[in-house]
Order: sequence, then structure tokens, then C-alpha cells
Amino acid sequence: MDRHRPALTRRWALLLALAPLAFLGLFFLWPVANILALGLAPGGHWEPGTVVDTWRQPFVLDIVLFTLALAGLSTLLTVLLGMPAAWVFARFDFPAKRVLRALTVVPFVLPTVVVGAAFLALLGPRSPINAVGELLFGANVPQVRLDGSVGAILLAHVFYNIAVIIRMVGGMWAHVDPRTEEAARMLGASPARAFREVTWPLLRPAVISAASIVFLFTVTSFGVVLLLGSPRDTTLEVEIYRQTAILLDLPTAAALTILQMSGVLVLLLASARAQERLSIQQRLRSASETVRRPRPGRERAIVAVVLAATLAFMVTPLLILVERSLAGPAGYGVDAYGALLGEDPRMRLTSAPWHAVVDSLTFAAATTLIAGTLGVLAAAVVGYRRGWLVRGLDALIMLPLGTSAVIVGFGFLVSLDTPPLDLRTSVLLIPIAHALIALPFVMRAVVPVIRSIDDHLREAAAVLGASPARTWREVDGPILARGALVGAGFAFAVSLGEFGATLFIARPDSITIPVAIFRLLGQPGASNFAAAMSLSVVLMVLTATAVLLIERLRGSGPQPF
Amino acid sequence: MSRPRSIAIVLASSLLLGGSVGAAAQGRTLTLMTHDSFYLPDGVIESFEAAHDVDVKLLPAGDAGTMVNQAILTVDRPLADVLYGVDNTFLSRALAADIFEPYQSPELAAVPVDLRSDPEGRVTPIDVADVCLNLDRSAFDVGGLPVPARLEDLADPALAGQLVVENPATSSPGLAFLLATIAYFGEDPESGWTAFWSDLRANEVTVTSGWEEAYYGQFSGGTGEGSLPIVVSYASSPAAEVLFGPDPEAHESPTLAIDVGCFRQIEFAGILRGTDEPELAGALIDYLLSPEVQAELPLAMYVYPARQDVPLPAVFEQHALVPSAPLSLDPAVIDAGREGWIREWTDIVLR
Amino acid sequence: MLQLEGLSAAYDDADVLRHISLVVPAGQLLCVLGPSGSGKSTLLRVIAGLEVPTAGSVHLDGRDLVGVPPHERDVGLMFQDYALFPHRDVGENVAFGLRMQGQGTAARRHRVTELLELVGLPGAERRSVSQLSGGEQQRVALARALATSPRLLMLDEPMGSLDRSLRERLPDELRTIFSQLGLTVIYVTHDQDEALGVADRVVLLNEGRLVADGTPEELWTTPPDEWTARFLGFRNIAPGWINHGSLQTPWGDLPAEAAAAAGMTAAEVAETAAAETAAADAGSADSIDAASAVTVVLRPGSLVADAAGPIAGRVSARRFRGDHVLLLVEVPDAPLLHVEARDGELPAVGAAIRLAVLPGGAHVIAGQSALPFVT
Repeated sequence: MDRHRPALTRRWALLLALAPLAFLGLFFLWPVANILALGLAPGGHWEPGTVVDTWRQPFVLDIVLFTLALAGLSTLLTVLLGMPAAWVFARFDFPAKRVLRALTVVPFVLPTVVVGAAFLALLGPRSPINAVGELLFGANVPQVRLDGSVGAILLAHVFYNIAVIIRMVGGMWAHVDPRTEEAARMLGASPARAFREVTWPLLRPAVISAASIVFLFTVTSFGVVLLLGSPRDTTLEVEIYRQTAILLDLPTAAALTILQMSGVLVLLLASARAQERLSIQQRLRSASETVRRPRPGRERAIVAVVLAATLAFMVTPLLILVERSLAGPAGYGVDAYGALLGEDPRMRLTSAPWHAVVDSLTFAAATTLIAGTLGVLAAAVVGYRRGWLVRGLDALIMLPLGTSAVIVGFGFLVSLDTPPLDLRTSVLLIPIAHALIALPFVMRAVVPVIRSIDDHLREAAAVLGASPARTWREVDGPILARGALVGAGFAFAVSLGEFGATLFIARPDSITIPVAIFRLLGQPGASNFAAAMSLSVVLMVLTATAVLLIERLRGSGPQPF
Repeated sequence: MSRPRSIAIVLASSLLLGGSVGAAAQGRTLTLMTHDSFYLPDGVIESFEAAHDVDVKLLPAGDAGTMVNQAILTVDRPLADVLYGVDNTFLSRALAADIFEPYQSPELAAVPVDLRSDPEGRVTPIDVADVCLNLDRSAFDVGGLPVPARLEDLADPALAGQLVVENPATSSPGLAFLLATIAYFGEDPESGWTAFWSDLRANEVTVTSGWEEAYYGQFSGGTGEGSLPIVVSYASSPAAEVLFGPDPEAHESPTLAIDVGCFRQIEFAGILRGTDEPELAGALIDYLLSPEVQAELPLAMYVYPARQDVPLPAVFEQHALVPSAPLSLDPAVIDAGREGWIREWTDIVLR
Repeated sequence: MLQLEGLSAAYDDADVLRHISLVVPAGQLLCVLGPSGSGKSTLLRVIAGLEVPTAGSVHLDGRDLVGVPPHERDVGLMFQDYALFPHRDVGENVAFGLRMQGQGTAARRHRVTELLELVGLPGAERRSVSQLSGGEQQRVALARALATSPRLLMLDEPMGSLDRSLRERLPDELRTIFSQLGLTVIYVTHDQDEALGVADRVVLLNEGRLVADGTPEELWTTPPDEWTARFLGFRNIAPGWINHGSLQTPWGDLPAEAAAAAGMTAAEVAETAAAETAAADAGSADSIDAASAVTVVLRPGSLVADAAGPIAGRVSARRFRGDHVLLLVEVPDAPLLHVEARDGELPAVGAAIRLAVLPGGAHVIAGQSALPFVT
């Protein structure tokens, strides 16, 4: 490619970067800086020494090591288990593929409380495994229990994040020309060697991109660690939450937050650098050109096994939720779903649960709009330009994913307190907070696509008589739009499922589905539990539908390749 | 979609959203900051709004600790006029940060003196919740386990591996139970609470991060799905089991709260310093302490009213426990000791 | 030597190859010619092992290749748009197969230099693949496919995306390279000029079936059926009858000598046609009766103006073609005739004209097909 002639001039790049920068500055950097300042300068004078003192405490090292090991292992497992599924979804056509692919996103948006409940049901004392054991060997058979173990956390992390790999890596994979791999095979490379030598290098930028998102999610994982881990498994995120929300020990919280954020920043810069260095201009194929039905015999068997294993892993916890939502005190029925339509004082919600569905969809739409617009602007800058400034913007946009929600939330409280920006009790805060988390997804979905646009295509358009603006519209535009739609799907889903930050800022007159589920789970009684489960099923169906709709939209658009 | 158009839509949607917020802000409003468990039946808040021609906005702000910390952080520009739900484990931190205006409610006369923890009257007691041990009846009636009579019995090998408690670092009932053991055993390194917890650990106590995980995930009684028959929960939990069970008229709850190691949590309300509506704020506190509202509290939040002169609902009389001599500690002592105790507890039980 | 026996393949239950049997001797350059969708690429992919046949066998130098994975077949394949590795430079692309064979760095470097010289790109080792022109990419792809000296080299539409001047020049260069190396080559194309120009032997593929097989000259002079004739570019095609020593066509009755390629008599022509029909349609009751029904192909260069000629028509258009002028001649109730006029006075558009057929200028194919005649 012609590295000396970027498709975006420096001035345009700065102009486009303005909006995302302003948004992040106002709603992320400023609040976080304020809360950190409160911790670093208690009583108004700076005491940076306390930060170092905190880092020196032995418990900090333990926590950091555990956090890194947990996130690293989770990411590795997610990539390893996600790659075969990404391959199958990218390369093969099979019945109900769209629905199945949409289904893989569902876990990603389920609130931790719901996933926790599902995994407890699966791995806990009353799991199906133990039920079978009891049936076979009687009541005294020793129970198999995974809850309260690191294994349970790892499983839940993979369950949560596998969609990121399937979609982000699979999205790239579907466009990589299968003939390059076949060419390698013809030149004497075994299937494994051909993958390692050809397909892997072409996919690597997408894998790094997806893996860094998974790492960020697992390094800041909070609910899963609290719910499924043993209480002695303390991650940095949990400790920051404890120091901030419970102990209000802001100096310690600030020291830990600085540690967390700088670690995340280093990782992000390294990952951005690696992606830029490794991104390869290749002739992308349209997905419909590379996809085919698996050949009968071995290939069909392999595809079937990968699909069955992936789906079994992802669907079993979801099925448990469906089962629990149907199980009433008097046998199976749909009573719990009926209960969502009416007001039941025992639910302790100010209005019928279906209101939360409406509110959630509204917030998700607003989030998609904000994050979609800002994300594409940022992606254009990051995708077309190179250099340290670009890496900085990329890292800055990713940073909210690696920052403790409670720090941002408490930052809002001490920063956005002056009219006209006294948003502390405004519902606007919800789509704003969601957009902070959704932005990276939109950007990450669009950037690899931009970087892979073949200059020959642009030249072809120019030769055919298109002006630069026209070339952009005809060549880059449709390709970009596709990436943006994938990102928008994620933004919508992220907003539907976001829980930690929303719980913090939700107001009773407008709560989201995950918050309603959390409130219901916090109330005693089997009927509330069933209502929470049925609301979780509604969330699942809603997410799958939203993702399907976006995919359909994408399918009917112009074919850019 | 063209970029200018999408920006216009963002602007329009934010104006719409902002507009609805603006509309609600007209007229007199009073904001009540609460913890997430706050609930009053339909009509209770509305009748106060009608009586005082005011719009009451609720502001749930996390659990009690998170709420208090938010109020402390925003002391210069308070988020609300009245705060409800600070309990005796967080009270002294709130008082130290000086977030409340003193207020003497006329209704306070009906409240026992021992609940009025702040002599300066900056907070007003509204309700009482006792954290007690709950048992799965079937395990004791049918299974033949010995019902613990004192805290020491929990360390008895006969009850090995039967108890689940919450982590005091992350759970409010967990902290209450730890405080109960500190109040009961004292701080003597040989015979005090640390020795007791060492024994509990040896007796295979299970620890969860929160109440939900303990009650639903580990406890075997009632709606619990676990296998452990003893859990740290509330004195009112058995009543809730009946209310939400298959038969709200049942004679016997599947679970039983016992008068062992109960710790009393008192929840207070206070007027936040800097409010524009001090009189209305006072009226709201009076209202929360009025017999009408006090009578609603048990079924609304599974707590006991602070007033002595309101009748308890039948299901409470029948199934809930009123501890004879609940344990307690002075708020100032709690605040001074909490962090150190939690760290020590973590070392003893988890490391 | 490559042997295909009853080879069939299907995609998603649709047959793509039907019972292909073919023997390619060592050192031969075989062109597989056919329209797009005829199964050409699939044939290559099956031989390469990238597709699994539904029936039949593939033997290379006596070794049964069924079940052998692609990388162990020792077969080279140059893909339609080259499929160069975008993340590797020219030298690394060419050396890839050598590296897979475990050759050392020095040997690889030597061989890459040699191959790049062979394909006319000396010193291009460090160039990036995305900076290459189409012709250069083709050369790199060729060098890459040649590097491991495969026993069989297959090229899928190698001129597919090249400009005209390259398309005309490169086939000769390829031929030279292949004959220098003595390679067995299968060359797939949809362009008959390219195929006839480059190949030792051409096979035609239509809807997955092998429909013709011969040297370029054989196919050009005696296309075995009407479809082949049309695909090779013949335009003057019509049904005819051999009757009492003359060849009846819609354009007029021609003397049998017109079809007598190598001094055959009219009777011999009829006999040959009948025998071919009978052989192709053995057992059919009416095959002998229909023996005199044939398809007539008139070569455009064998039609000459002759006042006594059997064909009477009118010139409807004249087109200048460099070394000749193409006349389009309308004959009532018959397909439009394409006539190549090389010398003499050219008739004006609209003028009446009579034409004769030079001896051997008509090619007769046994039987009449159901193909619609284009007028």
C-alpha cells in the first residue's frame, strides 16, 4: 500500500477527532481526574507519596498478580475456544446460521446476576450433574461443585466473551480469500501449517483487536468474580470497588486506579502498535463468495462437532434460565411471563416490569446513535491515519473498558455537578455511560475494515472517473457502513445488557431490564425469582432479535466487495 | 445516513430527553435519597405529595454504604434533600463528614430512647432490622441436627460444614454478623472473636460475597437452592418465606430465625445539609415516622418499625423473630474498628 | 502421466463434473476449454485435492491420488487471480513451497533468483506483492507454482485479468518455459484463441462433460459436433441433407466436393456421416433412416464470389477486418452467411451476390441437433 499518501488529510483527521475527544474528555477524563485528585490530594494538598506506599503493601501485589493471571488465562481460553467457532461461522453455510450467530451474542449482554444464577444452577449443588449422580448412586454420592472456584470464573468469562471472538475474528475471516490458504496447501503445507503460515498472519490484527477487548473485559470483571469466585479471590476491580464504594478510602482507591489504568494503557498502546504493524492490505472477498456448505464426510463432521460443542456450551446456561422461568410453585407454566405485564407490589418495582423493556430499548437506541456516530468518526481517524497521536486516540477510546465503573460513577458525582451540566440525576447519564462502553466496539469493528481497503479499489474508482469525494463514497463508504453496522449491533447489545454503571445511575422512573432483574432477584420469594428469570429470557430474546435485525439490514445493503 | 443528519438526531434526542427532565423539575420538588432496598406501597408517597403540594423524587443510590459515601462526596452540592437508610454501621462516618442538618421530629417521642443513637439529633431512627441465624427446619426437625443455642455451638463438630455466612468486606449482613461476634466474644486475642472465627473456619464455614449468593445459592431452606441448613439472614426472613411461598396463610414457615447472635441494625433518616427545602424535608421525616408509614414498613421492607405503638402484621407476629437481647456496638466504635476487623477476619477465615 | 477415470463431482447436490475420463501423457500441454460454469475450475480443484470427487479416480504417474491430501500430491496450481500471499514479499512467495519442503536458506535463495529470472522478473525478491502490476503478479504466481518442480502444473485462467497485449504475448512465453522444463501442464481457459494458440491438445468441457478432444488443428478443421463448432467461433451453421450426391442446405444445394476434405466422394461422405451417427446412437431404430440428415458448417474463408455459384443472396453489411473484409450475406429463409472476402472487387451493400464453396470448405457433422439456428 502507499503509506505516504493517507486517504485522510491531517486537518480533516483533527476535525473528525474533535467530537469523540470532547465526549471522552467531558464524560470520562474530567470525572476520573476529579475523583483521583480527591484521593491524591486529600484536604487540598498533594500527597503522591501515599500512592507509592499503597503499591508497596503486599496485598496489592497479590491482587495484581491474581487479576493478571485470571484475565490472561480467560483471554487465552476464550480465543482458543472461540477460533474454531469463528472459523465455522465465517467459512460455512448451514441451516439457521443467522439465528445461531445472533444467539452467540446473547450471553455477552446478559447481566452478571443472571449469568451468575445460571452458572450456579449448572455448577452448584443442585446441578444436573449432581441430579444424575444422585439418581444413579443415591443421595449420599459426593457432590460435584464448581461454584466458588477459579474454574467457574474462567468458564463464565469464556461464556461471556466468546461472541467477541466469533464476531470480530469471524467477521475478518469471512473476508479473507480462502484461495491463499489453498495456494499454501498446493505448495506442500499441511492444513495446520497453512493456517499458521497464511491464514493466521492475515487474521492476527483482528485476533489482537478482539483479544484485547476480551482482556479488558476480564481484567475489569466484577460481578462474575464476586458471584462465582470464592471470597478470597480478589481482583483489582473488586478491591477498587470495595475501597471506593464501601470504605470510601479514596487515597487507596486512587492508587489502585492509577495502577489499573496505566496497566491497561500500556496494554492498549502495545496492542494498537501491534495491530498497526501487523495489518496487511489484502484483497477482501465478499463473505458470500467465501462461504459454502461443508463437504460431506470429514469436513461436515468437523463442522458439526464444532457447532454442537459451541452451542451446547453457550445454550445450556440459557436453557437453564428458560427452565427456571417456567418452573412455578405449582409445576411448569407461563405465569411468570404474565406477571411482567402487571404491577405486583411484591416485586418492589415502581411500575410493571414491561416498562423497563420500553426504557431499555429507548436507552439502547440513544446509545447506538451516540456511540455509532462518535465511533465511526474515531474509526475514520484511527483507520486512515498512522502515528502516535492515532494510537493515543485509539487507546483513549478503549480506556473506559479498562476503568472501574465505580470510579467513573463517583467521578460523575463530583464533576458533573454544576448547571447546565448537573447531569448527576438526569436520565441522559444512562445513554452517555453506555456510549462510553459501546464506543470501543463501534470503533474496533470499523478500523480493521478501513485498514484492509485495497488501494487498487480506490484507484480503480479514480480511473473510472470518480472524484476523491466520490471515490470515498463509492469505495470506502459502503465498506465502512458494513463495519459500522456490526459495531452498532454491539452498541445496542452493550446498552441492553449494561449493568454495573446503570445500577449506579438508574432512577426509579426509568430503569433498564438488567436493573429490574437485579431488583427482583434482591427480593425474597419464588415468584420474584421466576419473574427475574422470565425477564432474563425476555432480554435474551430481545437481544437476539435486535442483532438479527441489524444483520438483516446489513445483508440488504450494497455489496461493497 | 449522512453525518450532519445523524448529529441532528443526536441533538434532537438529547433535547427531548433533557426536556422531559426539565419538565419534572418545575414546581416544588423534594428528593429522597435511599438505598436500593427502599420500597413503600403505592399511595404512601403520593399522599405526602398531595398533602404538601410537592413532587417527591426517589434517588436509589446503591447499598447503604455506597449511598452514604455518595452523600459524603457531594456534601457541597447535595444530590437530595433527605437521606434515608444510613444504619448504625455507617452512621459515624456520615456524622463525621457532617452531611446532616440537625432536626428534632415531634414524632420521636414514640421511639424508644435506645434507638436514638445521635444525641445531637442529626439523624432520626426510622426502622430496625435484626440480622440473625436462619435454619432450614427440615434439616433440624427431620434430619436431627442439634439446634444451636449459643454462638459457640456453631463451632461444634456436630454442625461441621453446615453454616454459610457472607463476607463482611462486601456484604452488610455479613458485617453485622461479624460485629455480633465481636460484641459477643470481645477482642481478647485468646478467647475473643478471632478465636471463635478460627474455630468456625476449622468447622468448615462457607463464605459467600453477598446475601443473595448465601441465601439462594447455599442455604437449603425455603427458596434456597443450596445444601447448607444454617445461614446468616434476617429475623424477618421466615415471614417473607411464608408471604412469598405457595401458601401465604401457612401455619409454619419452612425456615426458622433463632435468637442467637442477632445484631441490631438501626436505619436512620436525616436532612442533607444545603437543602433548599428544610421545612418540607422535616415534614417528610415526620411522615416517615408517622404511624401510617411505620405500620407499612414490615411488609414493605421486612423491617420492624422504630415506633413501639404500631401493630405488627399477623405474619410477622406468627413467623418473624423479635430478638430478646440483640447485640450491638457503638457507631463510633464500629467506624473506628471496621477496617481493621475486616482485614483480620479476612486473614483468619479466607487466607 | 495423469489418468482420470469416470471422475464426477457435485456442489450442493448439483452435478458439476460428469464421468470425465482423460489421459494426459507426460510433457503434454493440455488446454481445458469451456464456457464459464462448465466445470473447468472444479476439474482442476478435484485433481488438486481441494474438492472431493463423488465418483471416479485420479492417478498421477500410477499413484492413486484419492484420499491423498492436497499438500502431498506434488501438483502445482496457479489460481485464477493468483492468490499471492499479501503478507509476504515476492521472494517469500516464491520460496514458500521450498520452505515447506524443508530446503535451506541458501538453496531457496538460489532457486528464487533462478525462477524470477526465468519468469522475467530478475531482482524482484524484496518487492511487496501489493505493488505489482497484474502481469507481474501472474509471473510471481507462476514462479511460485514452478518452484517445487511439481509433476503436474495446473493453471486456472492465467490470462484472466490481463490486458490485451499481455494476453497475446504471454502464452508464447509460457509455452517456451513449459517446453524448456518439460512439464506436464493443464491449462484452463474460456478463450478459444488462447487455447488453440498455446496447447498441444485441447479438450472441451460443456456442463461437466468432455465433449471434444484433439489437437488444435483437428478441432479447428473437424469440430465433432455443432456445440463445439459454435464454441470455436463458427457462425455459418445450418441443418442439411445428403441426397443423391449433393449436399442440401438452406442456402442452396452444394456439390458433394464442397465437403470432401481429403478427396472423399459424396458417397464416402454420406457413409462416414451415417457410420458416426450409428455409432453415437447405436440401437436407435430411426438412426439409419436419419443417416442423411447432417449439420453443415461453412467456413467463412471458403466462400467466394462466383456468378455460377449455388448460393444466391444479398450483401447486408460490410465490415473491415484488416487482412479481410467481412461480408454479411442474407439468403432467403436461411441463416445469415459470414463471408471473408480477401481480394477482388468488393460488392456494395445491398447488391445481389452469388457465392460458391471451395472444395473442403464445408464441414459436415452427422445428425441434426435441436439447437436453435441463429439467423
